[in-house]
Amino acid sequence: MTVITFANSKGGVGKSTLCLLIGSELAMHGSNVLILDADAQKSCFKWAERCQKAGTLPSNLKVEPAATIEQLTARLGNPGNAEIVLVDVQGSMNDLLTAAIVASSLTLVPSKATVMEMVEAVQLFEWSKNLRRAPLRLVLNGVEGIDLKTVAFQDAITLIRGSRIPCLGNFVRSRKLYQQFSKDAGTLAQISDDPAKQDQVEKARKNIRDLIEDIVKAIAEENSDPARSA
Amino acid sequence: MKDNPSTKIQIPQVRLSSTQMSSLIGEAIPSAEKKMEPAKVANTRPPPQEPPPVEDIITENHAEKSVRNRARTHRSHLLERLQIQLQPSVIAETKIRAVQDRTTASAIVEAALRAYLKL
Ligand SMILES: Nc1ncnc2c1ncn2[C@@H]1O[C@H](COP(=O)(O)OP(=O)(O)OP(=O)(O)O)[C@@H](O)[C@H]1O
Ligand SMILES: [Mg+2]
Repeated sequence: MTVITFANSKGGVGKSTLCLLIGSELAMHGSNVLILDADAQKSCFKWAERCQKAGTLPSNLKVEPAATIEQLTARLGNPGNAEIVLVDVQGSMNDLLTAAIVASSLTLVPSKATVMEMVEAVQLFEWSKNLRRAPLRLVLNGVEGIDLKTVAFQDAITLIRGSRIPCLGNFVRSRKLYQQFSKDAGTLAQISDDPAKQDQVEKARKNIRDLIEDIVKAIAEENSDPARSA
Repeated sequence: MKDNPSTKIQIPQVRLSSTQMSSLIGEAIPSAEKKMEPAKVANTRPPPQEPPPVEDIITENHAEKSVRNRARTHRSHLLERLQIQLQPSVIAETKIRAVQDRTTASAIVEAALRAYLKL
């Protein structure tokens, strides 16, 4: 069982969306996935409730609320048959966020490659240095095709790579399909079964699979580096 | 990564023991350990167990607000504790400079990141 937390002290950066996209993609590939929704807004839990009603929730994907540190640690201590546990936390600094980060094998920090979002993300990385064990990775989310060509974006990427902020190699593109997914009731493939959109769905899923590949590498790196993990 | 959806994605299994987990959490959040003791600085510190049980949050709108407010208090407490490292003034400076100088996004990112990373 491996625990991954999605955290950023800033709200609306795509924590819940990425948590659900990654969780459902892993489940589609046969893993037993447990998502612990540690945000009072319960975006993930509500998504699962919608899916349950629509009959689209993969049987190997479970989503449960975890409102307190006690509930979180109790479930992490007794995860049932879950092979991977994803924790979605509230977009603000709080003890539950801290607990989730230190209890995780990896924490993903989604952020847009814009000024204020980056500053907030850097703040979280700086703060995490006070924790004995906190493997964090920045994930650039909501990247527009047009951004890739801008100097600002390229500079941001160069700075991240040149700085001490570890960042996943792949970033998540801004896609209408992802936005629809977070509000709809099903996996990417289920919400867009229009044959004309198959290409888009496949690209959107490939983006998430590439990200998962980076996550797997990051977990392996953190696990083999004794200086980084407790 | 193979595009074949039937291929199971192998995730390295790295589970912390319950003992490791509680010691790490206790170290990171002293209140998680000492939650039976009365809060010493009641005016700045929210109750140690938050947010409250889920049932309380979904039924009452104002309850949700109170969670957010407590999280905010908590956030300011944490930031206060970490002020030396974080220098929130840098954020304010960056915001103001962006407006005043109509500077480019890349310049602000660079300034902000350099300041934070002490490059
Ligand atoms: N890559 C993306 N492409 C398009 N839309 C996105 C993308 N990532 C996130 N969004 C949209 O941005 C909005 C915010 O995302 P989300 O709710 O996942 O953020 P969050 O960090 O969980 O927010 P909160 O702090 O409120 O929990 C949602 O409407 C979501 O659909
Ligand atoms: Mg969310």
